[in-house]
Amino acid sequence: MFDVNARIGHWPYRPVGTVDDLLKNMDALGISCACVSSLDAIHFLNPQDGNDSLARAIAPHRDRLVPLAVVRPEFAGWQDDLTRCLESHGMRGVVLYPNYHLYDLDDPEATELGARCSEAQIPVFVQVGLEDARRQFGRTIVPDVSLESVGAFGREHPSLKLVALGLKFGQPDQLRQPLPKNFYFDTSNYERLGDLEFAVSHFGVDRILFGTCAPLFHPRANADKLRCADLTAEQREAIGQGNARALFGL
Amino acid sequence: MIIDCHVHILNAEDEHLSEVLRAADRSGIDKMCICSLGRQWVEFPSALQLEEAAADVRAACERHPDRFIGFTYVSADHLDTSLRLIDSEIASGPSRIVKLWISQFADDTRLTPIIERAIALDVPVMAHAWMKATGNMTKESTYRHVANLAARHPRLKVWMAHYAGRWEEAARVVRSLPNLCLDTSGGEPEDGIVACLLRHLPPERLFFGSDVPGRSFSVQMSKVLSAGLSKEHQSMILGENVRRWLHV
Repeated sequence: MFDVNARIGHWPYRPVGTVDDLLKNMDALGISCACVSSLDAIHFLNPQDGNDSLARAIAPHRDRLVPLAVVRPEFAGWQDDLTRCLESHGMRGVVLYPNYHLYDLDDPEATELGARCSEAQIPVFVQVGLEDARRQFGRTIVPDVSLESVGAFGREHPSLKLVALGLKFGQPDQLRQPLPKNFYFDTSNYERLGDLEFAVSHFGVDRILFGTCAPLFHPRANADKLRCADLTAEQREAIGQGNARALFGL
Repeated sequence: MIIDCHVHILNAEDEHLSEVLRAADRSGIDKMCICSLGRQWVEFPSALQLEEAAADVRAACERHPDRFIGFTYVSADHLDTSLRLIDSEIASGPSRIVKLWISQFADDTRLTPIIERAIALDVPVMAHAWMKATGNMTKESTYRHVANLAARHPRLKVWMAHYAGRWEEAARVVRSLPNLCLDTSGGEPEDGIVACLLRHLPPERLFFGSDVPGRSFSVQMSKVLSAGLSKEHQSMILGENVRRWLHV
């Protein structure tokens, strides 16, 4: 399997697993590759500090871990950081957290970032929801990114491969139909009775990527979700890794 | 035997029950405790809606007696109906558990006749509970309401659903109440939930549950399967504990 949604770093509200824990779980669950981004970068003032430490942490494991850059497009000098991530760190995509970093996807800086990623032919991952609002530390509740803005961002950049991370059951339905052709979503928080079966029949198997949201979620949750779903072997293979490999041209 | 202690049915139609059973089979679940909150899931159900819920659970249990164990949904707002349903569905029917949801707090003293009947029948009372950062419903219990219920009635088997959504605190608050167990149903599959609960509670006091259909069997069971438990403790949480409580 190929996990498109894993992170490495610290989380302010509870202890989470390390890179060694991630690799151990990947071995146990049959996950051969994982996209990883910096968990620290979500809360660091300058996410580039997280990107740099991520690159160092995964250097011995580049055969299995595919790094992604966390970018704040309203933070001065992000263009240089993106260049450093792509050219020096070999990062293969960009992760955006509009509701943690407080910007809108239609802001001019985000539009410029979308254009740059289109030109560089790298995918952009938008983290729509990361934490259950009911369980967040009460001081600041971070809401989900609006689905309308994600859909609009995808339509604004039609040649950009856009992946929504952490969508809940029912949220892909809120994007204006039909789904933009460049739009994908991951399995990490998509849960209900018959979840993947519904997603395949309504959105097409080629839109769905295996994601775990490790280390915030245990990766077994999504490995078992895919294993127990009533899908054909071909559909399981596409969601499990084929779609992700195609996304990155691997 | 794996028993999912927290499953909702939306109706008693064959198509829906078959979908639940097929998914349970794929996840290796042998039996399920099933609850109906009526067809509309209203915050304050009418007596008629309690009866409708009971009829759906009875029909499903009678159709699949080897797979389903019933909850009987009651409310302090409709005491006579609730007591009558406990007699018809539990004392003389296929259900084994009294269910409280969000029409009253779990420690509401109007519930006392229902509690006394549950003690007499030796059946547990399961109380929904959550502690939400976004704010609870009008009469949605937190772990403190459920702990009050257990402390007031030490002979009652009290079952707190969803580890109240805040397992880090709930386990500490209920530690001294041996008549109270928690189920692991619902919410997101955060890493470390069961391990955290077991730092404060013995494994005998945890039940595996899913909250299907709003959640899935496999994801919710992974909370237990990923906890690094001994075979014995895993087996207890996945079914033996609730089987022992329910005498099934």
